[in-house]
Parts: sequence; C-alpha cells; structure tokens
Amino acid sequence: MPDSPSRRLERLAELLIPPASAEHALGDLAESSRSNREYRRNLISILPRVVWYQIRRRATLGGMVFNTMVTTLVLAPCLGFPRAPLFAESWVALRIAIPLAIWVIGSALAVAYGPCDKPRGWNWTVYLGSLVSAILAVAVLGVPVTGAALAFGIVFGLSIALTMPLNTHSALPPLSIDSLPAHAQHFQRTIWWRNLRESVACAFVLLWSVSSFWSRGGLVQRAGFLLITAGVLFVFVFLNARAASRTVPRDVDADTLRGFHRREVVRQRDILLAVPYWYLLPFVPGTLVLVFSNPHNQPLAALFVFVVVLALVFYGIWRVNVWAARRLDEQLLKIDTLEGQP
Amino acid sequence: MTIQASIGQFEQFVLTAILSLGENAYGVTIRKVVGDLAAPKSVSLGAVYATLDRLEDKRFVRSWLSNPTPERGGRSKRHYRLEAAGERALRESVEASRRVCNAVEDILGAIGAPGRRLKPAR
Repeated sequence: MPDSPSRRLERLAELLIPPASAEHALGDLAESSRSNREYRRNLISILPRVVWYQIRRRATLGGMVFNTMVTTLVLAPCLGFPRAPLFAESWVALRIAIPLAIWVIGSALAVAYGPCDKPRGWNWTVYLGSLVSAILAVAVLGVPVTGAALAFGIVFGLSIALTMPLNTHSALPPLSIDSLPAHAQHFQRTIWWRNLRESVACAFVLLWSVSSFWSRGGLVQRAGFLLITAGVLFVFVFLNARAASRTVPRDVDADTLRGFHRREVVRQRDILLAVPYWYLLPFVPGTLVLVFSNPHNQPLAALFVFVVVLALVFYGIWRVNVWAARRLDEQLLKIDTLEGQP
Repeated sequence: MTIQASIGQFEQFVLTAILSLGENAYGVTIRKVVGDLAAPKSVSLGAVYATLDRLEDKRFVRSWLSNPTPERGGRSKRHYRLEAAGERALRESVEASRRVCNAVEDILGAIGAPGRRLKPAR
C-alpha cells in the first residue's frame, strides 16, 4: 500500500477536481501516488482531462455554442448595436469577444463543477464568479458596463429559469418498475415547466401584438397584429388544454401506472410531431401580412432575406421538436421492456 | 458497409490492457499495464484518462463505478470493459501491426536479430 499523501494536498485535489469525477479520480490519485511529489505530478496530469471530460459530458459543446449565440443576441441590442458610438471604435469586436468568452467558458466550468447528482446543476461560486469576471472585463475594456451587465444578467436569469426543472430534483435512477413513479412524475413536471415557459413567452408576444394593434395606424398592419394575437391565443390555449401535463395516479398497480405513463409519452410525442400545425402555422398569416405590408418601406431584397431567415428559424424549431419526439420514442422502447415485469 | 474507426498505437495499448485485466481494469491498473507495454517510455495517468475518454466516445469501451474500497480511502473505482466494437477495432489494429511486422521482417530479418542489410529497391 502506498504512503498517503498529505491531507492538505488531498483537500486541494478535492477542490480542483469536478465533483462528478472526484470519486474515482481521487481514488486513483491516492492509490498511484507514493509521495506528495508524485501526487502533485499525477494531479497536474489528470486535472485538464477530468475538467474537459465534464465540460463535454455536462456542459456539452453544443450547449456552449448555444450560450454564445444567445448571449451575443442579447448583448447586441443591450449595447445599442449598430447605432451606438461604441461600434465605430477600433477593436470593438475583440473588446466584446473577451468578456463573452469569459462568460461562456465560465458558465461551462460552472456546469462541469456542478453537483454530481444533478446533471444540469451549477456550481454557484464558479457561475457567479464568471458573471462578475465578465462584467469586470467589460469595465476594463471600456465597453459600456450598464448595457453589458444587463445583457449578462438577462442570460444568467434565463439560464436559471430554463434549467430550473432539471435542477429542482436529483438525477433519476435508470427506468425500472421501482423507479417508474419517479419517472412518470419527472415527465409530467418537465411538461408543466415547458408549458409555463411557453405561456410566459406567449404573454410577452401578446403584450407586444395588442399594444402594436392599438398604436399602429394602417389597416393592413392592424390586421397583421390581429392575426398574430389570434395565433398566440391559439397556441396558449392549445398548450394549456391539449398539451397540458396531467396528474400521475397514486396507489395504482405497476401495470396501470406503466400504461398511463406510456400513453402520456405517446401523447406528448405526437404533440411534438404536430408542432408545425399548432405552434408554427398560427403565426404564419399574421407574419406574412406584416412583412408584405412593409411598414418601414424596406427594399424588396431586405424583405426577402427576412422571410428566408424566418423560414430557417421555423425549420429549426420543427427539427428540434422532431429530435425531441425521437427521444420520446427511445423512452417508449424502455417503457415497453417493463411489460410483464413483476 | 460500416466504416470502422481506426485506433492509434496508444489506444491499442489501452485496449490491450483492458482486455488483459478483465474485471480488474480501472485507471491505476490500466496505467500499469500500458506502462509495461510502452516501455521504456513513461506513461502519465492523464494520458491514460484522455485515451479512455476517447475510447468511450467511440463506444469501444464502457465504464461504471464500483463500490468504494477501503484501500483507496473509501473511494470507488471507475471500471472499464471492452465492447464488441472495441474488440473488433483491436483485432483489426493487431492484424495491421502484424502485416507491418511481416513486411519489415521480410526485409530486415526477424525483429530483434542482428542487423541485416536492406534489399535494394527493384
């Protein structure tokens, strides 16, 4: 048996190694190191690997790209793009890219260092640290602090709101007859959160479309906003009626619960596959009327580009929902393996 | 036809170590066997970790955490097992190495035998 490394060194390793990798990595370090020096050398050699492993597993590269896109989209209007004097200054792209990179990498590290029983949980110290570091970098680089802090704050709040349903409970055990009630509850809770999120988004769009309806003069434009309002109301009602979450029955036998959960997964899968009809199509008439009424007298090419971008966004939403439906198909296969199990 | 991902020499060492260790394949033991195979080069624990991650991504190996053991300060071990795809990749890689070995032996004589001159190119 090798000599034990000093307690201080072990504590340092516990602090540096992400919790989800700590168990086996600390064990391997303790077993393979015969002196403090060897322990340090082994720690230095494994540290980048375990951190990168957790970034890829928990934060994912797709998640980092998504975070970059969302933060850029929020940051640009908050900094007054493209009219603000900042955008006429030199090195502006780099001066914005540095705090953005600090934020994105910091967020990825916050997820990588999150608690191991919550796969999407944050390490709050790292997360808040990256927020503060990004704002400090903004101040140092001479970018307007108020706008940038507002943007980072919005993304920070958004990320917490979006991942809250995943973080309020611990990771689920693999699907089995025993864990079926927890899986069914988790599924309904996820649907409930999705509907809440979408309903809040509907409320914002509704606010915008109704206020625009009253404030705009043209008859065609008003018709466009009226159609958008009708579309939002349709989506809102559909979400909270046809696509609503349901209460998981209690005190029923495993077969009844399995049947209920299976039917619910099938129902939600079909709703996801029908997204082009109930989620996208209701917005098409109003959007088209607004685009072709051309309220700002945009050139035809600009209108064309707008329509293409919008079509791509709609296509993206549809594909994401098809992907989610396929994930539910995989869940159905797992549920079916429980059939007939005691 | 499926295209089999090829593996490098270090990956070959790691897969061989996992295969030879069977149930006892985890970070420290894998590093020890890889160290023997790669001698006289020294092998860091980090390099073994990185390769294990890559092999797991390629679905050549599967890992799981064992129960904690007292000799590691009550820590669990992450055990590794070769998957069918990993076994296939290892076989193909060994076949390729054997062909290289035969080709070299044809020219230089048995590997390890005292120097034999290269045949002139035809």
